[in-house]
Amino acid sequence: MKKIEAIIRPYLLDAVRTALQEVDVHGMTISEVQGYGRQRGHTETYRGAEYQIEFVPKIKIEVIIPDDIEDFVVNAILRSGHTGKFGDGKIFVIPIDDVIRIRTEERGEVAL
Amino acid sequence: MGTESGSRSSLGKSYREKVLARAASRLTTASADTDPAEVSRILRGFLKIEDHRLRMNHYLGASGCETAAARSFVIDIVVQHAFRHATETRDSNGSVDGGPNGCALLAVGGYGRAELAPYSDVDLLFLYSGQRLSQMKVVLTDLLRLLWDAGLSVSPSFRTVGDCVTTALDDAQLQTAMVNTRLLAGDKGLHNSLQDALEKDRRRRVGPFLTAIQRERDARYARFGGAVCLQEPNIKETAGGLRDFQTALWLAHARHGYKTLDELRAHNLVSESEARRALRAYDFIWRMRHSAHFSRRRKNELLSLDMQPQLAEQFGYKPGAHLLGSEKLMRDYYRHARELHQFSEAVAARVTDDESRTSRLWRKQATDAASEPFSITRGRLRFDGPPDFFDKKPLAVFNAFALGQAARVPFDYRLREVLSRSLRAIGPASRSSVEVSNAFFKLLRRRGRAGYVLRSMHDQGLLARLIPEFGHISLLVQHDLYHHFTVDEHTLRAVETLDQLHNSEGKARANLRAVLEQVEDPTLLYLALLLHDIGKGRGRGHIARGAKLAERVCRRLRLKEDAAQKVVLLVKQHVTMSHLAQRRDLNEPQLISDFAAAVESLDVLNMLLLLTYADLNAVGPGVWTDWKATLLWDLYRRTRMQMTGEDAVTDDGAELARLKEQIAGALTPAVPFSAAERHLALLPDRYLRITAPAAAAMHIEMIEKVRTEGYACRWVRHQSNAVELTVSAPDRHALFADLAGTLAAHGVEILSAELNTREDGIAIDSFILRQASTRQAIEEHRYQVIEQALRRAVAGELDVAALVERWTTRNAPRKRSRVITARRRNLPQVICDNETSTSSTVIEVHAIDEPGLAYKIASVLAELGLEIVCARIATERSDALDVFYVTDGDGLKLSDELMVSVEGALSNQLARVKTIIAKPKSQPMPGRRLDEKNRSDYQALPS
Repeated sequence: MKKIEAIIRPYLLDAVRTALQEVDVHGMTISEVQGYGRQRGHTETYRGAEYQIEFVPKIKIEVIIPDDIEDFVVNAILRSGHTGKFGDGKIFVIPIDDVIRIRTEERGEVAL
Repeated sequence: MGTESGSRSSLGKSYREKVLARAASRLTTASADTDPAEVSRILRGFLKIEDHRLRMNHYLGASGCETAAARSFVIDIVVQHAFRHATETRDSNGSVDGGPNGCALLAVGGYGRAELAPYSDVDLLFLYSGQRLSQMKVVLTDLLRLLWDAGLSVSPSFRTVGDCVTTALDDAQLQTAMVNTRLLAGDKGLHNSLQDALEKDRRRRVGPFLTAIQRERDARYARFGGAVCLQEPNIKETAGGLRDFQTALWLAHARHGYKTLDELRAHNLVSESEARRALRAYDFIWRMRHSAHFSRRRKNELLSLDMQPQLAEQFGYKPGAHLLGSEKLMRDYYRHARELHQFSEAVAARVTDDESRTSRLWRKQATDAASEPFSITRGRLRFDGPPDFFDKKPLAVFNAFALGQAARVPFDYRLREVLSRSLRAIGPASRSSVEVSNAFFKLLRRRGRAGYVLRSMHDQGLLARLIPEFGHISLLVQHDLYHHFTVDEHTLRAVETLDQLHNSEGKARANLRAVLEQVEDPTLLYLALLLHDIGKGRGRGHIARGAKLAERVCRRLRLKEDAAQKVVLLVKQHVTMSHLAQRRDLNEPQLISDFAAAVESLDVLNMLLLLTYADLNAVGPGVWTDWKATLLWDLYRRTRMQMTGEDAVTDDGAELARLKEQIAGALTPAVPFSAAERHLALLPDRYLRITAPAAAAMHIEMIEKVRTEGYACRWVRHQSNAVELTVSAPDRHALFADLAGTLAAHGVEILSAELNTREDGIAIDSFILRQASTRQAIEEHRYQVIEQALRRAVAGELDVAALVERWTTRNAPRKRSRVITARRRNLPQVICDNETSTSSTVIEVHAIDEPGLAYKIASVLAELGLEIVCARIATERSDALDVFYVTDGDGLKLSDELMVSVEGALSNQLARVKTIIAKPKSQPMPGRRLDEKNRSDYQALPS
């Protein structure tokens, strides 16, 4: 199993979610996150005072998937989250040892 | 209300007789010889059956108070039976002589009032005379074991009369628990002496008792919520819960010794209708509590979201066209809770206000003759007019609120009572009168005080009188797992959020505060905020409905046409901003221009931003996040730019990214892209904003050279009359002064300069230069000489000061007559400030230009030990506008003393020039315009 963690533009969340549903990913965790990568934060001046915009708002999506659909999922995010400009975000693929559904204690892919 | 159906007397006298009959038949088997386990089993069986009957009666509609009393009655039987058993057992064994004399079993707390919820704790006080202590302990242990085994949760205490009184001194909970005690079994005399002792103690310590009870109440509000309209209220403890009613009784008891609502009524502390309404509310809340216990089968006081639909069904609330059953239930709950809360506050006010009667000196203090018949006494707005005062002068109602608003004091209870009677006079006619609307808008006009007055108007019921549409959203529940408050509470909180913003200080949200100060008429913003959710609870599409209603309200309040349009527009667009900011690509120019067109004007945009901020904040804790703030601000800024054209220098992330790509494109293939990334990361953002990509690429390549040779310089010829020189070298103290001095010593004028220092300590200084003598670009054959000199200056091999001195004495006098005319303008001006930049002190020098000026300033700064982080030197005709971002030797902003000495040293140094050049006769010059233009250039400097 893999965990796919993707940092995307907030306004593309709906598009990415739809794309993920099309490749049969039906559960996900999302969070509002802030950070910076190459697209650094910036300082702006408003009426003489300086405001540090240090972190750029993003959405983080986390999905856990069986190994065999990894490529589909990554491609789905690439396709739907892409604008070609700086700040499109990143995808991380992380191996997952085990998954346990708390209610039933099922383990492994059945618990996904 | 589907709650008060059913027989009120289902748990009355006949019920008790039946319980007694059942007890007589089931509990007789217990005798002295019976095994204690058998006794508890029998008690458990009895409790189970009675519990079931109570539950049936409750679901059939028994009143809340009666169920509570019935439960208490059942427990009485069980406790008495167990007590009898415990004492008799010991008797037969000869362990306890003389039976239960010398001890008494008392019900205290809620049980003492004979009010128990199905799974409440049973509070028992085992009172003993202080003799035969060990025997008493044995009796108590046996008793408790029986009761615990019977399945009751008992909280016992074991005290003598003296213990009770002394412990109560510093335990407010114990003290209130003993307000109502009932003798369940044992020595009546002992109980009487406890009551006498407590009463004596109460009379002696009225003040401390009152304070302790109030402190206890405040602690309870802090812990369980002081607002009635919580999404998940604690039925017992939250404001408006049962405890509020009891607190009122305790306060009345502490002052007067009254123990029941009937006594309060009999002594006229509360009116007939007040008592009736409070009792009805108390009963309703009790029913809720019973249900909460029954449906969870445990002591559960939380009216949780998942339980609310269940209770709604039980109580027969059917889903309506626009409201869920649970929403209707909660609306009723809040209505009753508010009733209880107000009752509690009213009694508390009367009981504590009473004190002022004894100290008449306090009265009339701070009275303003103009505000008669109102006065502020002991932190409350008091009313001394006749009861029909407001009927004759309806507008005086607004005076009361304006006074309360100005002094931020609540109304005293008499004023409240008179007001609530007089409000009925505000009907459709006066609602739409000019005077009323003027008076209302006057209250709204006060920035930072609107929330306070609106809340008190709402509490008094005036708001709903004035705007009946607002009455519709009063106590309206929104079950969407998102809103924590009822619509009216949400709305008031939103207004208060803006007030807090106005009254806040410091850097946090300073941008929003600045926007708030720009709002042309805060009345419109507050009104729009008040009306933004007015369409809720009327079916789908609350925004369109709300806009229509808002239009009606504005018309009724006689708002001017254009003002009304703004308010309606704000209501109509009140979710647009957060929607766009979070769900749309803000880089789309079309999106921004469409939005700008939709909000029409900058003023509406400003108000909409603030409305969105207030709205989100008031939804619940944690809804307004930095994340949302950043997105919203981005949308706001882009739209403002679109509307005003200001801030033409774009500084957003996407634009930066584009520039980075261009820089990377301009680099020679040998230099990796990461070098560009690194380069930009080491420099402040303004560098990227003001540096052309090609120049930045050149800098990167120069720095590669600095690494090997320690120095790099490039000449770029821009125009015919100036040339750009860029020098890069490892930064050191006074580097810029030496460069500027070397240039000056070579007869080169600095028209402008840009200094940047990378975080790794490499300086990149760009100069626009010309030949001082010819006022033309420097001839190319001189490049070599200048470059050599600069290289030596960088290495520290030149005595720059001497060079400059020599050049000045030789050349300067001829140049001076031109610049005299500027001296009328109080030049030089030196301004230091620590506000503009987050990390450096900014020194602005506005002076008459002269050869070597930049050197002069820079060397003063260097002598003071300051480091120049970056600088911008500009010459406008004869004026120099030099801005230096400096830090002290430790890289920190300058201290206040240091700033003073910098200002002094610079003014001094530059003024000396002025006195020299002032000798020739000067002519006034119409330089004002120029000056102003320069000032504004200053402010537009990117920081």
